[in-house]
Amino acid sequence: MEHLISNIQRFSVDDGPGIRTTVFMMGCPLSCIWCHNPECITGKRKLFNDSLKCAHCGRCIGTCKNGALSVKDGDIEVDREKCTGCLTCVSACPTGAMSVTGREYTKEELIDTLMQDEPFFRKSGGGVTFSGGEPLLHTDYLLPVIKDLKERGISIIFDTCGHVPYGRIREVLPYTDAFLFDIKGMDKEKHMENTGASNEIILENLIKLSRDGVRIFVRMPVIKGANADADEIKNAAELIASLDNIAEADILPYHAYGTLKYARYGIKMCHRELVAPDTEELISYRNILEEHGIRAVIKNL
Amino acid sequence: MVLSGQLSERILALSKKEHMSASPKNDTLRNGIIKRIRKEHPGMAPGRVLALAFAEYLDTKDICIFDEDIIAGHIQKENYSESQPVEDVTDYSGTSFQIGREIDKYRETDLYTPEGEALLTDYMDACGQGLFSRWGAGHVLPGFEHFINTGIGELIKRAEEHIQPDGTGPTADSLITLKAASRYFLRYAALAEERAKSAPEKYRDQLLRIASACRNLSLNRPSSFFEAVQLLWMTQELLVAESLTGSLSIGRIDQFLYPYYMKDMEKGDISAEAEELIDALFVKLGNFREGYQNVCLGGMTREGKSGYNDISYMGLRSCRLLKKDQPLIVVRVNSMMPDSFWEEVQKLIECGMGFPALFNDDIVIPAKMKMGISLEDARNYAAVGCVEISVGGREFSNTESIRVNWGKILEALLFNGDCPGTDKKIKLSREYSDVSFDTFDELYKAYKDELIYQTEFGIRANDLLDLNYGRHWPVPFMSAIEEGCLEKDRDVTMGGAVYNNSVVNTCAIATTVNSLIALKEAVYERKLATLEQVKDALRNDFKGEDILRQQLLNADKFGNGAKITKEITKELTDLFVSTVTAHRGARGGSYGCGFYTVAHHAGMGGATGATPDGRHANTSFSSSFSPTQGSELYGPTEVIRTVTEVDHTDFGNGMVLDMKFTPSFFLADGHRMAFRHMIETYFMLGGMEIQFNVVSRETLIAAQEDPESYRDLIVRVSGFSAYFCTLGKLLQDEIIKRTEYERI
Ligand code: SF4
Ligand code: SF4
Repeated sequence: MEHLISNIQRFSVDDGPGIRTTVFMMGCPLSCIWCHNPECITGKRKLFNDSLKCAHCGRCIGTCKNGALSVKDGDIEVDREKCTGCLTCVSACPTGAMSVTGREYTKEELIDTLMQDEPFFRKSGGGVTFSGGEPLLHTDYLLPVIKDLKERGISIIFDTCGHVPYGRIREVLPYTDAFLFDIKGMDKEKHMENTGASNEIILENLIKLSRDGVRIFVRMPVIKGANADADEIKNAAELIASLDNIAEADILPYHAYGTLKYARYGIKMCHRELVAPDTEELISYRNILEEHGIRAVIKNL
Repeated sequence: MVLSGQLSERILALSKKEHMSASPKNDTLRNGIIKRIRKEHPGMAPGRVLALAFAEYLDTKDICIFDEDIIAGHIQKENYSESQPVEDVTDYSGTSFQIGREIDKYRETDLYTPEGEALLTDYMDACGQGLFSRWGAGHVLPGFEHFINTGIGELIKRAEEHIQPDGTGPTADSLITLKAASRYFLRYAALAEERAKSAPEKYRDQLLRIASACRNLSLNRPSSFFEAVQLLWMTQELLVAESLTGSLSIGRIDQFLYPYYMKDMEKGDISAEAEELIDALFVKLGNFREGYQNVCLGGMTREGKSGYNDISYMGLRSCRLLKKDQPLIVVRVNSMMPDSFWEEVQKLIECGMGFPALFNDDIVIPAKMKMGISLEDARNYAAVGCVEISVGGREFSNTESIRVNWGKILEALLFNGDCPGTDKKIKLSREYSDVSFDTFDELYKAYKDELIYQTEFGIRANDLLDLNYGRHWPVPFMSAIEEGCLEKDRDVTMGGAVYNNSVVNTCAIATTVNSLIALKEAVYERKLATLEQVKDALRNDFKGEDILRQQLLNADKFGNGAKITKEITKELTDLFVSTVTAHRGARGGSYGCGFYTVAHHAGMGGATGATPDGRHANTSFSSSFSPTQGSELYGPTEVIRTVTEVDHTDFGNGMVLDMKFTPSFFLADGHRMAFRHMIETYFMLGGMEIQFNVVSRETLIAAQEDPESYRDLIVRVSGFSAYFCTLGKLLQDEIIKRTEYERI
């Protein structure tokens, strides 16, 4: 499998303690209906048309042998059904408006980029976070990277959906300072409906991980119209309270920022209306967690 | 200390009242007096004319005290021309007004040579083309501290000791102004007493207190904190009466008021009263609309001890509660700063007024020492105007005297001196019509040659104008309160201060760096177009050349992390600094550099055609030492790494790094912490100054309604930056909504 990176985000302040650089790896075993990095689900390069840069020269249209490109309302439209990802149009585009998301980095390139913000990491207690997609799909690529970073004294965090064989978690464990570990629902069926997979492996992995001594930040996305439900939070709180090494539980209210990307990458959005729970509801969730003795934080990104 | 969260009723009333009370009489009075005295005494030395006019003006102008006043003094509306008399010439405007008038006067002096006149005429033309800007006077931190600690009576004594036997000369002129100032205090004392008779009961005590303070201050040093504040404000009023030239800044009020505060505190807690007095002072400063008056808070004492005291906190509080754009606030940061002080600083930043600008003591102090200032004095620096660093009462460097437009130099080079869109020409060091610039290195070298040539030309003209200026428009009162002038019998504009430095400022750094790189990448490396094709596109402001423009825009940019951007930025900056600092100024001191632009990036950009970075003709340049809008691809940490490639101790006249945040960023404690750590890392890496623009909710709403006017507005959402206007209604609403969130 290719180890594609969609984005390296510096000055990330929501992906663990301090100022961090977050690496978004492409490819994910889940496909949550609220995903705000939808370009990272399939693990394949994605064609991206930036209408701000487009000079409307039309050169790309002629080069596509599959007839995937056309003009709609003055802007270039990509028919994703027809597009094979051959990237001919990208090299034909003179302005860089047509581009590809998903790039391979050599280990050296990646480390070089990550070390740019080292002074900020040191000052703030930050470091590097691997996210995605699901970074643990890429352990063979990432292991040498994190070993090297560890030797340089850089803090490492994995932001995982948990739906991977536990062996992969165990591989990165010795070099990892903390995990951001998602609980997206306690009800098996609803979880299946929302994410395309059962939560059994995820919850098992969480329990195992809690015995392995690394700090865990549990992350709970809450979306009205999908998984926001006091009973679900209560069940999750009971589980979390029984675990060791939980640093905190973060409530992540839904935000619509990702919707922009669906359009840009031509990815179909969930037909249901998704919104963030209102403030009172969020506070009530936090109260439930706190009643179980859990340090809980509402994250407003 | 515990700060009160509210303004008193009295402060609120004063805040509303002040700016409504201009006296039309004062508008023309001063100018008329100067003209009359000149006419009556042909041949009288300019310093004497201005001193006599100052005295007569103070004796006859309208003065005003409100019933609610806590301190007396009121700068009534006065315009530029009357403080710098226009004489008979009325049709000058802007920079050429300045220089045109200066050249007229130059012809009358002992300095005159035909070569000098030619130099100044060329310089005035270049200013007209936007290559340079000139501001002849002001931009100084007058000797407030010295004046407060000495008192009028003592200064009069010193002036009398050093006056020339024939009663002429700068010190004699200063003496006239000191005596006039003393009488002016007595006028206020009498008015306050008068007013107390008719004022409502509740205001009477304070009016009588003002009266007795003014009587005392007419001769003596302040006897209390209250009197020190009163003297401070009255001094500003006197300075403005002498010369309203812009950016008469106040400086370190927390340092020079603190001894008076502590002395009063020994007798009882005056902190609540002190808070209201600082409010009153800020209301007065805030209602004087025309001057970039800067107040500096925190830092360290001359001895290197912590300079964060109760008054520093009060200053931050007043600024936050009064919400006025004056005074401008600068905060000095060093390792002694208490966390509680930082909390107040951050609260003020989050208000979105753009205050305070943060300065790093670890860098500014060595930067000032490079300009020949002693360690103790360097520790006592404050800011002039926006961000120029200077030592109050001891350094005179007229911090806005000259600015060099790097972008215009590139335009002139590319077009062999022509300015597309006009029929004007810029004089270059040589003829370039026969040069084809076959390689980037050739072009780059020619740019560096021109940068040096034009800078040296600007400095020669600047020196001559500075030598000339004080001969016609000396400032005897400002000189009276500057350390050293009375003793030396020399005006502050003529080298009378302890440090008599000069400065050269810059404009269009990122635009120029980006333009050079765009040419390198698009023309010389990728060969997407020839240099001639790019020049044609520039001449036509990219009309019909959207593709080429986008290709140029796609090149690497200052702040986007590419090595080449850092190399060129550093090389040009170092070259400019070494060119400038090799000179000694007209007043005998060092030359320093300023890498900030105030609003000149808009003005100078407005006078410059399209540039090879894809910038349209006559639009704004990049501001200060900051990237162009939208090129901060990798966020603030990368910008900081780029900017700190350069040694900031070379910026003896200051620099600015602007950053934008949305208010919702500050809702999470973790974010606020990261924000502080980001600044601390910037300072650790050698950053001198940073300031923040927190986009307000109102701005976002306005941008939603009127996208055309806010096309440049960038917001950072969920890790990526985007033009707000391109986001679509849904997302815009979401961002606006988030700015309303209480912290939960
Ligand atoms: S990537 Fe290939 S198939 Fe897809 S639109 Fe471009 S040219 Fe057509
Ligand atoms: S080739 Fe590029 S610039 Fe031209 S229409 Fe296609 S996307 Fe736009």
